[in-house]
Amino acid sequence: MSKATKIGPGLLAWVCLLGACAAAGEAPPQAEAARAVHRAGQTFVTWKEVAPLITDEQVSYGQYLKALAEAKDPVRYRIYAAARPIDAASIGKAELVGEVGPLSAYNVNARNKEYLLGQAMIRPDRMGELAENYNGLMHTWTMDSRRMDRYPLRRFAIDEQAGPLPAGTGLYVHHPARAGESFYAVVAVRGDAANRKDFASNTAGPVAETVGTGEPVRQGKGLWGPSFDYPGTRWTYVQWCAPPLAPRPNMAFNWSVLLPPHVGEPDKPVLPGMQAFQRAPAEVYFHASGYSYAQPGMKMMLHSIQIAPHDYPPSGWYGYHEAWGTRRELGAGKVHNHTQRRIIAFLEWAKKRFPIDPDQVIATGFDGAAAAAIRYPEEFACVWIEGFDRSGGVLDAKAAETYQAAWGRKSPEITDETGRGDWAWADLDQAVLTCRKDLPLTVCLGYSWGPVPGYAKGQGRFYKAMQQARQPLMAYWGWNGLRERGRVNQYDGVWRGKRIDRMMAIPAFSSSSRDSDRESEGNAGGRFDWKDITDQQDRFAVTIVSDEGTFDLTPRRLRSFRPVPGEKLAWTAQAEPDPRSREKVKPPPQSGVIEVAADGTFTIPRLSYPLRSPGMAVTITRAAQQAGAGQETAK
Amino acid sequence: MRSLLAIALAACTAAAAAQADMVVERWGRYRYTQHKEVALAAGEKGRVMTVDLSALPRKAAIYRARLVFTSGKGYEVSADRKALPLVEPYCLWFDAGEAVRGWVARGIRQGELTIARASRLRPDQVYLEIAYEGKLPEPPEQVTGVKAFHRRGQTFLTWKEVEDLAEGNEDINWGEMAPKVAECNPMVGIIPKWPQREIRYSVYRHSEPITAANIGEAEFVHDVMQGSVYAEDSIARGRQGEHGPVYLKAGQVLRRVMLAKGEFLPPGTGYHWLTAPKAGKAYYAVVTSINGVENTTAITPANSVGPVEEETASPVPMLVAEEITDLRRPEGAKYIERWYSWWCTEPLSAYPRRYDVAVGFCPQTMATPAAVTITREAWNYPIRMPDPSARQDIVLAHTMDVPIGFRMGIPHAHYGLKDFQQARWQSWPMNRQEALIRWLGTELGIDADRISVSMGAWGMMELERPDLYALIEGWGQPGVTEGFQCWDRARGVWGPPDVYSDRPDAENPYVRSDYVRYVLADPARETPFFNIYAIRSAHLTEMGWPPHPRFWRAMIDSKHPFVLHWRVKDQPVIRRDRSVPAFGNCTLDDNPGNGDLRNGLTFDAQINGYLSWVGETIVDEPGKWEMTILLDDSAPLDECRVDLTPRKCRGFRPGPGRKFQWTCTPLPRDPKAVADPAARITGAAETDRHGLVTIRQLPLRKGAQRVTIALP
Repeated sequence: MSKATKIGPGLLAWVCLLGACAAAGEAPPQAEAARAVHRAGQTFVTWKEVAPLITDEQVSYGQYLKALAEAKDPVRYRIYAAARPIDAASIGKAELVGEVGPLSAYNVNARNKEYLLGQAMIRPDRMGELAENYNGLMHTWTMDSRRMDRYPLRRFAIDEQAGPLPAGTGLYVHHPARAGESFYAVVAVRGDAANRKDFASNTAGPVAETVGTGEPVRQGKGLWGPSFDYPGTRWTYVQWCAPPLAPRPNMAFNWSVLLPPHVGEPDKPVLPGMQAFQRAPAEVYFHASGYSYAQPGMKMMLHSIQIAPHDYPPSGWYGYHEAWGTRRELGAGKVHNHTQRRIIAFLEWAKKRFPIDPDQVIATGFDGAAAAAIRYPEEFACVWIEGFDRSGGVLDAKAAETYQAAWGRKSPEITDETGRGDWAWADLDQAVLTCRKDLPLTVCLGYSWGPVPGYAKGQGRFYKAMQQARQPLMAYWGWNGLRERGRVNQYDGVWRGKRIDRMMAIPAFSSSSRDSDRESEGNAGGRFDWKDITDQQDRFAVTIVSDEGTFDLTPRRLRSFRPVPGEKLAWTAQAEPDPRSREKVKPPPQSGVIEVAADGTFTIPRLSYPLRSPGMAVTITRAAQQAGAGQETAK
Repeated sequence: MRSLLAIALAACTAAAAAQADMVVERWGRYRYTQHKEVALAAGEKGRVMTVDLSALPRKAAIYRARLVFTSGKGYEVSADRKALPLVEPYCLWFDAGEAVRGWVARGIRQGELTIARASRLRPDQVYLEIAYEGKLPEPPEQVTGVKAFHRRGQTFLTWKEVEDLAEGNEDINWGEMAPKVAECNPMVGIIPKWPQREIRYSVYRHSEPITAANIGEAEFVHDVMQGSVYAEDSIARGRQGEHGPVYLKAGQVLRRVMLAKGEFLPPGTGYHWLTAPKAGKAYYAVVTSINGVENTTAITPANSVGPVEEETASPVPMLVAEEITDLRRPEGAKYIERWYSWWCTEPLSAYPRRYDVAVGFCPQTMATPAAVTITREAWNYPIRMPDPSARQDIVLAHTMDVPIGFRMGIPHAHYGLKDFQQARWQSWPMNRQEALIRWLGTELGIDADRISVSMGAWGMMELERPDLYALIEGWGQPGVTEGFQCWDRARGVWGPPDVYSDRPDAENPYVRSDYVRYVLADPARETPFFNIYAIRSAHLTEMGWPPHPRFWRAMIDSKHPFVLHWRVKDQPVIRRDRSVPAFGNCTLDDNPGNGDLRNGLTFDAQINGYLSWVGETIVDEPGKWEMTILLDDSAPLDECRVDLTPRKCRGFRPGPGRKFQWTCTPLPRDPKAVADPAARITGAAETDRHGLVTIRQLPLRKGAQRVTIALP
């Protein structure tokens, strides 16, 4: 891959550099046929490029790179905005809102590894190719692999009905800071020479503008198959972002949205025989490192709407240094969580655009899912981790270069908005320990983020932190991990008899004697189940289902039972007798008094679950209502 | 012609000089030779092996000459610009008789052999053995106790060896034997280290009684190595293939060959078998060869035998062991497991070797005729038989090829001197399997319409034989080039794909093993019903996941009958002579993924898993097809839609472009109740260009429904 492959993430910077290197010369012919269309806080400025580098309708990423590399002194375009029509006389007073190079209408960041995989599955380049490198060759393909040259580039659609912009069109998406009418002009530039004389069809306006983050635009159908896939149609969307959802204006991010058949139709189920849902759960799929938005590997429910963001350019599912995309060094400064914000923005838009049940939004996938849910726990019903990044993600020294490109070097001078330096914003365990909110139930498969070093050790920093913070975690690993965790019923979304939603109280289990960390089976808080939860103003009750062992119980996400810090609570626990025993004698009841901690949480410590009991009812009430005097108080 | 004349001349000479012996000696730098005067030098067309024949009497009659390589492959040898033939079936040596006779006739004392493709030639691993007319000074100790019998085209010889490798130890284990063994392979068995002297036994065959006077005229059959009685499956593990040498555990007692039921040949017994080249009387002699020098003078009744009445026939397995287990139920029932030895060569085997065959059945519960279940799912090549039970079918198992070639085949003469370029690939295991089915039919009587195969994760050539197999089960292996274990093995066992570029598809294992190509190439071509399932703990990911989803999609697209992970408890009886439904695009199908292990349900997916049918009430007539289709009660939803294509029809074969009406009538669960005609669904369908008619997205509900397809 030539140096030109680095164009993708830093296209603007590269083109600027190229322009700066070019000798000053005659101003180029002017851009033509400029148009400006405003929608939901975004103005889409398009124009006809001067001597377009590509005129063919179909173009591959390789051809795109070649055209750019071979272009000598290509024409760039400056986009000006003003409250009045712009001409040669007024251009000096117009605001320069942006500058783009040639081929700005090509969605280069839409390229993805999944396309390469699918094509290789249909026909590898050579016999044995997929077996190479211990079946791992395909996993070495990246956005910048030479193989990606064959990716068929699409041009952006700014209006789904109109389809992709014609070849030879330039595009800039502007987020106006103020509402009102605006006029636009596109000025062609070659080297240092800008055409500030010719003003005709390179201007547009007036455009009535509003302030907003914009709305994603559907681009067309996404990947499917090649052999099998989930029912429905996978559509691709582009979300144009500017600060605070992106470090720079005019940044385009790709998404896929899989809509199951008949979604939202109250009388038509997704599949014959299924229940019809008027509002569907949403699965927000955070891809694994190296993968993309294009074809999520897993979907829990057939009737859910699957939304898949693309963390590209890579941001560690967090965001970028404020100087990202400029010629400035990523030195002392701030890193903002652009990526998480734009995901939440997309989700908010999706909740309006699609029939999504807002109480059933699930964060699924890999590291990014946990990170987003810790930052925005109230958005998600639960978190379903299919596996943390095996290479360690941000903890992987080999991946440091990727994160440096987004955040700058690991240093105390580069901080997030809360002042944390040394990339601490990416430490999931620290994020959990400092989180003051109730996190969603987090169900994990595989080793912890930041696993304990050693053979077949699955416990690690994230699992420990979740348990230490008494947040709800059920994690499974080892050979039997998948079997122990089980799957969500894909037809109705029920897992272990429950459909977890955002408004539901969740018991968090910690310090359990039933936790294990073995090669064959490992779990953290995973050997518990519950049913019959009651969350009332004066009472919380739940029936725990497990087997012999001890554990601490912390109710989370309580909506009604909200005792104040320092308040005393009485608790009782009564296990059912072993149904196989002849006598059917109930085990001795347990009870006590606990005090609500400063953060509003309360924990029953060292609950003991008897052998072969089918269930243990735990009730917590305000102590004043209970004759609990003289009982032990635990904090 | 020149060769025949030379042999005739040699025979006349031998007869004339009755006192002369046949002397066998070796020339070469091999450890055990008598004449070291051999030079190897680079030549224009390969390495030139110059043999100093000064020690050979002038004008001596030459009975035979063999150029033997003890390592390497692929050699092409010529003398006087004429190629030397590689001698079948073992392909371990070249016949140099004509070359040496020519040298002697022309008085050449420095014979030259040109060895092309000799990059792997080691000078100390080749020798020229010449049997000539002369005087044998010190004949080695002679073999005794030679016996022979003939059975179905094969003659078996045994003798008492001059030195017992096991030193009389009946229970010698591998730990004791291993230090004495240099190598072993399933063709020749043990190859001893021979630290002091090399001991072999030469087997001769003649149409007349063999004597010292006429042994030169006798056909040299083979030189058998010391320890041949251990040419046993459990010992002769291959050294080639993915895992390299695999030996037994040190404490495991070595089994010896059995030539009669329940009787192992004693330690120190030599043994050889051969396929009779023609019918008639034959005489045999076995002589000792020490360091290549044979005792050709002491031919007595102790080491010669005959006449043996021989016939030419296809070999059949020989019963060597039987185990009878009393079953608890039904009372008095017994399960019989019989083990057979089966000696095979082409076209049943890539090289001469003995195979195990096992048959299990319960006479009391066995159906008449009985279905046959062939089990070849064992991870390695030895047989794995099921536990004794009161089963109605007959279980048949047989040893697979070594090295493992995906149960598909390996190049001919694998353990001989042919390399991939020279050897021909054939589907030997399938040839054997088909021969065994024929044999079992005559042995026990079988229901030829109910033969099923449990394939495990190794190959699926039975898919090509709907005429033979009703049902195939297991994981199969629809492609061997997309997982590193399969790909490495394929290239190791079959050689690089380029080798086959000029060969017909039928002889190209890389083409034959591509079953996506196979099913898509001709949707009209029938296949047995394929019940696909994965057994966890097998190396399925390492063997290659990508071809599986692609194969299942190809099966659906080509409308072939299969199910992946059948969840139906009571599966239908599937017969070769009965139509089966090909289900496709069922709305209950899982998503197995795109071939990337991080995509889809992968190994946990089911396809058509909740669908079944009733086999006994099928109507399969010209113009009409009916079947009772079931959506199992275990299905996660009460209804589904599925494409349905009648396959393997005998009567219903409408041809392309015909229009049909179909009906689907739910059947009441109570067999006495009458079906509700109002619930009937109807539609129209048309046969495709392959003559297949498919009902698209047929609605099914839990329970049974009668589906009819008929001309309007």
